[in-house]
Amino acid sequence: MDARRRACLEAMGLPAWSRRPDRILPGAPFPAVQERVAQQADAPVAEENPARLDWDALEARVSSCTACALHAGRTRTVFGVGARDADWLIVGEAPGAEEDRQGEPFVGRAGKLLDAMLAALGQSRAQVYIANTVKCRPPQNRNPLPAETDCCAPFLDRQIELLAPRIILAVGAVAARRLLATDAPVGRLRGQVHHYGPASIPLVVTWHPAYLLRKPEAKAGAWQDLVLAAGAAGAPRGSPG
Amino acid sequence: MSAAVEDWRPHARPMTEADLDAVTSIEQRAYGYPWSRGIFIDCLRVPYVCELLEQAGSAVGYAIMSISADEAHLLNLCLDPRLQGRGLGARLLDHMTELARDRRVAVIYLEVRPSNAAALALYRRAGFSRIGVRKAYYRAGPAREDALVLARTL
Repeated sequence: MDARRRACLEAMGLPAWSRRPDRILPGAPFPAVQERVAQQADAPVAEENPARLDWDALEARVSSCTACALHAGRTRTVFGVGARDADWLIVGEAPGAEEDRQGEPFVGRAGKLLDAMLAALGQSRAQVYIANTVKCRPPQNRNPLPAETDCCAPFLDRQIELLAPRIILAVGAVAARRLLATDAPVGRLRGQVHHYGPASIPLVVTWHPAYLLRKPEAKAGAWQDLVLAAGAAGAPRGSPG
Repeated sequence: MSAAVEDWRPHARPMTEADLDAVTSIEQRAYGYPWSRGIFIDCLRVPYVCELLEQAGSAVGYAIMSISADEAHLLNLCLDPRLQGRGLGARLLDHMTELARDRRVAVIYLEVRPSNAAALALYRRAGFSRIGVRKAYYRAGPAREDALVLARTL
């Protein structure tokens, strides 16, 4: 079924059923997943270093990745979405149930809020690039483990390298921890411009939209972070003056 | 949920004295020769039409307009420099134009520095045209800069 048909069905509120790629259901209890991984562990793996792949090869590589146990519980990988020449990169946490079903990051209520936050900056989802720290859904929507974010790190690093964004917005602790290699909480990391990688790309940390839904009083701080990020990114391309 | 999303849209409301910290902070970052806090207080007292553009509970810009008879003069229209180039200026100018229309204004005048390309582009797109020049109107370092006088009939 193509994306348009899926979108039509979704607009009518009809769930689109599709054959699952394997017999383990998404959200399966972890022991079952681990057992399966153990069975696969000795399968021969000959994979090219992600740091040399282009966008399409990288996406294909992610979709077939079995580097950590999370792959066994996913419906599909959530690679990322948006313009591959975007100025803004938004980095979230890991796919939730909806994201896992649709293959797109930030599709639920938190996604709607993220869209509103981007619109406040005059940006649409199609203009920015949105990726997660981890590309597969962790079971029971738990946070990804450090070992899992480590497994996924070469993919996000390569995405950042290919994109070369003018600003990275890390939403939530998982993304901040991964990109800044720190254990500091979001509350201490937000409100300042950090830098990421050899290219020293400006990076701003802010609250995850899901947190803002629970704590609306944090919204003013999040907006200040977005304005800070907008200043660090410079004027948008094609703006007058 | 909808409220959470709504808050992020820009919306304009009348400026009050409580907004002056945010307003003067933007003014100082946006202009080489900013208005003083006293000027804004005077504008509120007259009262001129003083409007604040807000997003997510924070000021992002403002505009001040005097209206007499059927003429309006747009005295100041300013956005946080970090948020310029995102359509907020057009949004605020539309709002001021609507307020002028509500008060049966026939023509809006304004002055702008010829060096302010972003502002000129904004006003041109909104249908303003050049009707004159005030020679050496603005301070500009040791020299002076002309002001272009623009107008738009409603």
